[in-house]
Formats: sequence, structure tokens, C-alpha cells
Amino acid sequence: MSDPMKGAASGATNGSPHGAPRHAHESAAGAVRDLALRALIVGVIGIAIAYATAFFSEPVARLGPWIMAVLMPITMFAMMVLGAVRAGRGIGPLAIPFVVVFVLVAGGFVFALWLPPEAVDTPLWLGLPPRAAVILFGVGLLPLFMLPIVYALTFDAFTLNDEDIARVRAARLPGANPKGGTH
Amino acid sequence: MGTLALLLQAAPMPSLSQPIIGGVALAYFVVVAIIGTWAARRTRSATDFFVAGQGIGLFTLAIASMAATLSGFAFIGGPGLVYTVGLGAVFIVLPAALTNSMGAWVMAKRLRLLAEVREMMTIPDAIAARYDSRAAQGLSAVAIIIAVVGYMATNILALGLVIDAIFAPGLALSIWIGTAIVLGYSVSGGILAGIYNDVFQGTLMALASGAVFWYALEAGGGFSGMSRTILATDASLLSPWGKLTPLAALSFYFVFGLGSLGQPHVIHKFFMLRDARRLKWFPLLMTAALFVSLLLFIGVGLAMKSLVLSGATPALDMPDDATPAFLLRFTPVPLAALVFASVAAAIMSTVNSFMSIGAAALTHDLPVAFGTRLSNELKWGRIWTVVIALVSAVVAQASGTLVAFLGIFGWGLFASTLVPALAVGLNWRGATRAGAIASIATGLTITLSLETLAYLKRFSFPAGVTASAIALVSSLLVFFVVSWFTRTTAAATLAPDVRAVMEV
Repeated sequence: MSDPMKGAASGATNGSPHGAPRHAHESAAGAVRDLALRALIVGVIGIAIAYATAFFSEPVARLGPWIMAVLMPITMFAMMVLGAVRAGRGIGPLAIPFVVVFVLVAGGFVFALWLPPEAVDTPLWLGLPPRAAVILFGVGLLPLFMLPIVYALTFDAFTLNDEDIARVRAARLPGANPKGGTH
Repeated sequence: MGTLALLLQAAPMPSLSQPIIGGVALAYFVVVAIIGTWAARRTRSATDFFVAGQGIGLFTLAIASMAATLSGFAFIGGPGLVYTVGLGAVFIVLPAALTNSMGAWVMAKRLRLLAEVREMMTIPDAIAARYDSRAAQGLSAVAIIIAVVGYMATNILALGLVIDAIFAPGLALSIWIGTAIVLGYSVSGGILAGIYNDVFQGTLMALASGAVFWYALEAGGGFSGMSRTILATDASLLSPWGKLTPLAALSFYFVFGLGSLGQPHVIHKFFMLRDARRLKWFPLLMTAALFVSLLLFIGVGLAMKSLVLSGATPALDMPDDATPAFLLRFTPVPLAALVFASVAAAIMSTVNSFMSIGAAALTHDLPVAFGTRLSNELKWGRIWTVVIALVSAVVAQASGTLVAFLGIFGWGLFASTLVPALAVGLNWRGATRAGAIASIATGLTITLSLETLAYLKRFSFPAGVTASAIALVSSLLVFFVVSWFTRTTAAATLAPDVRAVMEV
């Protein structure tokens, strides 16, 4: 499913930050947005299939967690890309941290499914059995501050700056009263 | 009722009647009252009452959002769940590694910028603006009202249980006392009082949680000591999924991860930020606050399990005793008192947020959906705040499985009705009005019907998957399918100012 408005005359004042031809950036951003949207839809369908496997017996039922482990992070990161992509700019340097954190999360889930179950003499990684350590430290702790720091560092260039706010304010409809409300 | 039944604080706590605990709790309530009085004097309009006059700063936004996100469950039910099902319970809080940044990219900027071009008091306002649809606004308001009453009833019951454990006036009276305290500052100062109380309450929660985590590690012999003790007796507790199925644990991650984008009591705070550019540091600050506040959740649950298994402390009567028992045995009384005040704080900050969005839905969204606007929204906001609180308190008096049932679907109902239409819709210009309405209706219908069937023990999803997860997936699929079939109408429902917001 592609965005029916993809390619429409949008963001007419949103120029390229690097002076490259505008339509090339628009096209790249549209492609990223389209890809994210497709990934989101595929992810949601995949999660539905994962849930459906619960109604079956082995070995089909065993597939559910594996499907979920990969497609659920795809869904969440597709959502994040959809939010981060900018008309005329794509996601720029955000691509790398997004991929890294996706690998940490999805890889952590897959690794936890793949490793053998715990036993009394299981070696400990940072005080926890390996599978638990992968989930708690790899999926939970490592990405914890990575994305917030990336968000802050790229905020002015890729999320919001004074020009963006001015452009939005200029788009107010006649008679609009953002701070309205009856007393 | 499924696994989510474990997420509710609906059972009595052990007696906490000690002078120091009572004194700290009393002092806490006095501070809350002072902040409420201060805020009441600054509440002069409906905008002040519902969106804090759109004048709060970054620190206030981050701490208040954290406080509203965490209810008493983070301090009582959560550690109890870790104690019972092991590390599988951690999948409820694990998405916090992503949710704050995801929320910032997907929701924060768009919602805050919508408030630059339109009057934004509520989340249904944003849905109405996005789809130019009063029907979508009304339907989302109905979903919010249903979820709010159920959610509030369980939280007010939890507050009553805490007050009863500390002061012992009886549960029925404790529920009314708790309701009166929250109502006192909510009705006078609205969300403005709530926000600044949230800052106080959130700070208290973070400090208490961090300190208790340190004591938990010390008592349990660090992660290694706890792991060795637990592995020797029941290794499955330290499986990454604990005693849940992998599908159920991953399902928690999905519902509490993606579902976080549809929690109106948290995301409507984005309207309140004074300067949109301050969002730059929001995820980092919110993540840091949330991380510290959630340490207790994991630490106490694991520590108590290992202490019980090693014989260092008697077995618990019920899982929710994990935190009270740990605090009373292994921490100094003043710290225990601070944590119990934090539990009340966590509950009250959540209740206040629910009161605000529920009252706003009744005062503002429903009349607007029917094509009218109340002449004095401030007055009506206060009236509806009282009504919602009283209804919730009456429901809470019916302590037991019915109240637990009502609270269960709150998070899921918000997620399934708001995530597709709002989170996806604000970032995808192909979304249509019909898609939004269909997805909200789907979320509402599936959540209510599946949860009711589970409550009546007629049907529950295999492998421990929750109704909330099924409802969220279904509403997303319906949203995409209906939007695709009605795609030719997408452009017509997108106003130029909203389009400008979506292009940034």
C-alpha cells in the first residue's frame, strides 16, 4: 500500500539542507516513508499471524514467538521511522542508530529464544543467566539512553527548528485561535 | 481475566500502622494540599484547567509524564508480579528503552505543533483536526470515558488500600478519603495542580525507587547472589520469559511498547509545553526519570524471591506483599515511609490525569461532537471532575473482581482506539476519516467483548496472549484496510494547517 499522496506537492517551502536538487530529496524521503509504511503493515500482519499460531499445536505453535521476535521490533521501528522522516530530508543520520537499536532488540529476542534453558550451574553474565542478561541488559539497558541522546543531538537538524515552527505558524487558518477556550 | 489481572492492585496490603510511616504520609498529603491551593489560584480558564495554560517547562513535562505513566502498580503489583512469574514480568517495563524516544518522534512534535495552529485541549481534539471529523472526536471521547472510569475505579481502590494500611480507618472510608484528597486539588486547580503535584510526586517516586534498589541488591547479595539462589530452586523464574510463554512475554512488549503511543493521560501533556523546541531533551530526561523509578520494580521482586527461597524471610501470603514485606524487614523505617508515600503519589498522579482527560471528554469533546460548545467550560470541567470521581469511587467500593475487570482494559482500550487513528494517522497522509472511525470502533468493540468473555470465563486467548494485544492488532489492520479502500478521500480530509504540521 503506497501513500496515495506520495509525490503530491507537499512541503513546498521545505528546502534541501545541502543544496541538492529538491525533487531528489523529496523522492528519497517519500521512498523512506513508503518503506516504513510497508514495513509497519507487514509487521502488524506478522504479529497477527504470530498470535494465530497459538491456536495450532506443535510445531506450528512454536513458530509464533520467532515471528513475533522479529516482526514486532520491525513494527515499532517502522513506526519510529514514520515519525522521524522529514519531507525533503529523509531520516539522514538517524538510520544508523535505528538499525543498531533494531538489531539489539530483535537480535536479543532471537538470541533468547535460541539459547538453551537455564540450569542450576548455568554461568552468569553480569550476575544473570545468559538469556536473562541478553534481555535485561541488551534489549532493556543498552538502547535506553542511545535513542534519547540521538534524538537530542539531531533535534535541530532533523526534528524541529525555528524555521519549522515559523512555517507551521504561517499555515494557521484565518481566525484560528490556538490559545482559545471558553471561560 | 488473563494475565493482565495480575497488573492490578486490588488486594489488601499488610498493616503499615507505624508513627513514622503515618507521619510521613500525613506530611506528604499536606504538601499535596499546599501545591493544590497554589495552583488553584492560577487556574482562571478552561485552558488552564485542561492544558495548564500551555505554559509548562521541559523538566515539569518530563517528570509529570513519568509520574502519570507509573501507577501504584510499579511499586506494589509489579514487584509482586516479578516475585510470581519471574523475569517475564519485566517485559512490561522493558519497552521503556524505546517508548520515550518513539513517543517523541511519532507524537510529541506533531501534537505540540497542532497546538500552534489550533486550539488543542484534548486528544480527541487532535483526532478531529486530523480527520476533520466530529464523529471521530466523539467516538474517541466515548472510548476515553469508558476507559477512564474503569481505570480510575481501580486506582482509587488501590489508593484506599494504601490509606487503610497506613491509617486503618477501614477500606470504605479510606476510598472516600483518597477520593476527597485527589478531588480537592483536581477540582480546584485542574491539570495545573495535577502537573505540579506530579513533579513533586514523580521526584519522590524516583528517589524512593533508587534507594530501595540499592537495599534490594545488598539484601539479595547482588544480581549474582539472587541468581544463584533462585536457579538452585526454580530456574524457570530466571528464564527471560519467566513463567509466561514467550508469546505472552513478547506480547507484553508489544502492547506496552506500541500502546504507549495511545495513552491520552500522558500524550496530552505535550499540548502543555510552553516552547516546542524544548522537546529536544524530553526523551532523555523522561527516560532517566523512568529508569530510576522502575529500579524498584525489578530489584524488590527478585530480591524477595531469593530471600524467601533462602529462608531469610518467611514466604509471602500473597505476591503483592513483596514490597511492603521487603521494606518493613530490610530498609530503614523512614525510607519505607517514603516509599509508601510514593505509592500514594504514583496512584494520585495517575488518578488526577484520568480525572482531567475524562472531564475534558465530557465537557469539551462530546458537546463539540454534537456540534455545540458549552459556554463555561471551566465550570463544567470542575463539575464533571467531581462526577467522574464520585462514580469511580462508588464503583471502587464494589471491591473485587468487577473492579479489577474494569481496570484491566484501560490501557488496552486506549491503545487500540488511539494508536492507529492518532499515532499512525498523524504520520501518514494516506489515512482516512473512515479508516480512523472504523479502527476506533474496532478497538472499542474487540476490547470490550474479549475482556467481557474472559471475565465471564467463556473464552481466553491461548498462550496467555491478552485481549489488549488482539484488539490493538485488529484495530491497526482495520485502519490500514479501510484507509486503503477509501484512499481517494484522504486528501479531502486533510486541512492545510494540519498538513503543514505533518510535513515538519
